[in-house]
Amino acid sequence: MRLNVKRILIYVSVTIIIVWTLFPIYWMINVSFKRRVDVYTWPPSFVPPNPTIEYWIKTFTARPTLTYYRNTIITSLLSTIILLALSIPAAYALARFTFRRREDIAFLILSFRFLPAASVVISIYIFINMMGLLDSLVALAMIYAAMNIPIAVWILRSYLMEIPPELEESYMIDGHTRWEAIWRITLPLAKPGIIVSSILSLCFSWNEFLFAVLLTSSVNAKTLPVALSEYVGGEWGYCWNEIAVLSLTSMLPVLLFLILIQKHLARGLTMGAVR
Amino acid sequence: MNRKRKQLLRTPYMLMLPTILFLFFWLFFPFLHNIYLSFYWYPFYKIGVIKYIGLKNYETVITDPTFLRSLYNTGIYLAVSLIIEFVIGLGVAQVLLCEFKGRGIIRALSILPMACAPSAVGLMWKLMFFKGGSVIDYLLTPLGLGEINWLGEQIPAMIVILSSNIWQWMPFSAIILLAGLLAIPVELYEAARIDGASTRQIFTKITLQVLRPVIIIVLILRSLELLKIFDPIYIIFEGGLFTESLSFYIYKTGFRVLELGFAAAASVIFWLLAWIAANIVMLKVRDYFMR
Repeated sequence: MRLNVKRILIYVSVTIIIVWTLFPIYWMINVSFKRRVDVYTWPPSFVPPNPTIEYWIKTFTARPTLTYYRNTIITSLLSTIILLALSIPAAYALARFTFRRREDIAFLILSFRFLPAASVVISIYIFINMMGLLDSLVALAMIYAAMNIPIAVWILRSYLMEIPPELEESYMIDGHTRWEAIWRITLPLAKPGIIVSSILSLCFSWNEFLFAVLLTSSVNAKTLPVALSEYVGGEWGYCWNEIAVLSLTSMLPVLLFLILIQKHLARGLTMGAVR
Repeated sequence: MNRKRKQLLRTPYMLMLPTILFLFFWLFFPFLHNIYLSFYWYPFYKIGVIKYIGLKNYETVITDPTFLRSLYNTGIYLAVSLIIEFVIGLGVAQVLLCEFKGRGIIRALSILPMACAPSAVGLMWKLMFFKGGSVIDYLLTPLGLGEINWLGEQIPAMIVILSSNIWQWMPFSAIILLAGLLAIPVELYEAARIDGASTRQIFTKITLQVLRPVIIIVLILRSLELLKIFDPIYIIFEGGLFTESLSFYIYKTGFRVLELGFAAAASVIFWLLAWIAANIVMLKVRDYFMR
């Protein structure tokens, strides 16, 4: 009897979690298939009364949506490449070598993670303006990389520390150089860490808003979150259908990536502190 | 041999140098420049004007009622969101720990809100809460609250911001706490049960105790994020009503009012507050990250 009560309680809670999590998404799907006039009806329609795929097509044909996608993809990939190139060596140094003030340096790097973006945003804008890099994907990618490097270094360090140094050493005894040992032994073993930090970096860059809205001004560099914010108002009025379509389609890759690293997500998000 | 040894000693520094230079260039240098700027009158609308005015900017900022308001709002967002996210997050983690059909799928689905762009979430909320017959009004009809002007009044507006933030980031707490719960060995519970501990005792005496380091990490990471809250305020309200946060205040004074020196002073104060807050907890963080 008691067991049954517990079962029911669990299923009720699970149902609440599902409804709470999915309702906004469901509402977006609903709106994306409605006609413009059906968006504001009372009572609200929970299923599109006259379903149409007009706006799914329009979003990608009548507006430069594909260009926004291209911008977002390039920025995310570029920033992740920069991030990996810089944080793998640093993490390796912090994991494998013992040297003076190692932990202080590790915390110096981590402290950049705790620097609020808003407290450097004015100067970054001025610098980028001086460098003539406003409205460019490269500048955006660099800033995203800088913001995520502390996280990546800590995640990678946490994974690298788990690989026994003896593996590298015994490979080197077989007559290989250290670089070969790192390339063939250590990096393949650290692959989960590399994947987790890359995906977190990709997802962050994909969704970042503050710098994107400040530093981009034209279709050449605007990313999806900025494009979205502009489907409100302006010459087109409130385009809820397009917003719904774009929100849903831009979310999908991030969701797939996060599910892919689900097992490592908690460890990644806490920079290695929680396994 | 000696030469080789020296080289080996230098290696870790050489490996870290590019990273540290990169961070200094993109974050630390702007940070210093920002402090420098805060002592100047630097209007963006007058090209070439930059004049030293000492602490004047700071004076104006800390006496500006809008700044104080944004400080207060940030405090509210931080406290309310942190507590609710944590409590619900812990509840969700407990539920996801239990055995039930489709647990794997539900665990995967639970991270969905985090995958959304914050600007998309803001817009969803704007749509779900619009004035005069939104779906939320419809769903709340049975509660008999009458018509609430969600986007047009102070307290409802803050509820809209808080709920969007909680919806998006509660899963963050939930999955980390879940990972923490999964790491607790089952034997611990069994032993306690054999000793005759009640469910409640098990929760407070075992779960919460063993989970403590994880709880602290979650709270720290979330408060540092919440301190920076910007996106929903920009997207949903454009800073309208009195919803603005510190980040939005800096954005507004810098890029709408175009007083860069003034905004820089505000951001130095913001950084100081974040720094003090971080330092209070940092000694603790160090212990937990050094396991």
